[in-house]
Amino acid sequence: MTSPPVHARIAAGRRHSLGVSADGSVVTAGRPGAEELQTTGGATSSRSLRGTCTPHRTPVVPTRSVSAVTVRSWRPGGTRKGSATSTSGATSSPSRPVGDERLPSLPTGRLALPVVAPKGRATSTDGPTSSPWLQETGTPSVSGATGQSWRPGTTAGDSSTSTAGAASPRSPRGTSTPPPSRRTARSSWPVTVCWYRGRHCLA
Amino acid sequence: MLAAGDNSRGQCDVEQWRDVVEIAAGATNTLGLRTDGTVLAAGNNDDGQCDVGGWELGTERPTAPRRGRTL
Repeated sequence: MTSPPVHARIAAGRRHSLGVSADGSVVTAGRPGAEELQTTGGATSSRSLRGTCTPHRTPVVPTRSVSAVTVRSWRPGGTRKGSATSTSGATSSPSRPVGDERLPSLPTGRLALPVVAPKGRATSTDGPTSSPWLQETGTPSVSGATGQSWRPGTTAGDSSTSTAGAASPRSPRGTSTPPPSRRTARSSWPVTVCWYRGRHCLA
Repeated sequence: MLAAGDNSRGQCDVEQWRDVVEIAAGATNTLGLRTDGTVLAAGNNDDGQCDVGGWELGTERPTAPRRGRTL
């Protein structure tokens, strides 16, 4: 069984031209603008010099359906090893050096990334929804009264910071894991992290 | 090959093109892919968008057949 034939393609823009060869490489010509000649799929941008238009080939790297996800609201200073890196405060702190943290590919669409700790009544309005790629679905089942929350930056044994986090819209510094005992005591959080491609959740 | 429309920059001057299997029209330029993988261009070249003389995009080829048992 053979696959459909691969043939070259061309495209013309206002000030540049593109060509995709049969082997998948990309050639460009035209104005080397800021974005016009940047090609995706390769490790580097394709650029050509104005006027000379030396054919520039960018190797196309085979990609998966979802090769990476850029989490803009994730704090670069946090540790990736922490399974509960909070993203809740990332967008509320403009002075933070937010970086586009490109994460490695995952074998599946399930994103093993920031799990948001419950805050207050543990609604899903201050968490991953701030990121266009992440969305928390489901309602965490936090039993009992309000005000009980886990504050990022604390440890499991630190009980002195277990109450004020709910009212504070800003996340404290640092990242850490939530208290495991509390997490288990409140049953599992039915939190699903969806990996979006476009508007479709791949989870 | 024929072209119609605004020809203020010569982007419609493609009547001499032959063996074109695919075309692409920009704002003021036109590209044509030939069967041998070379590319033709006409029209505005202020930004070098028509300097495609060195392009050799290859010819159509089938991909390698998949391995596997046949029933």
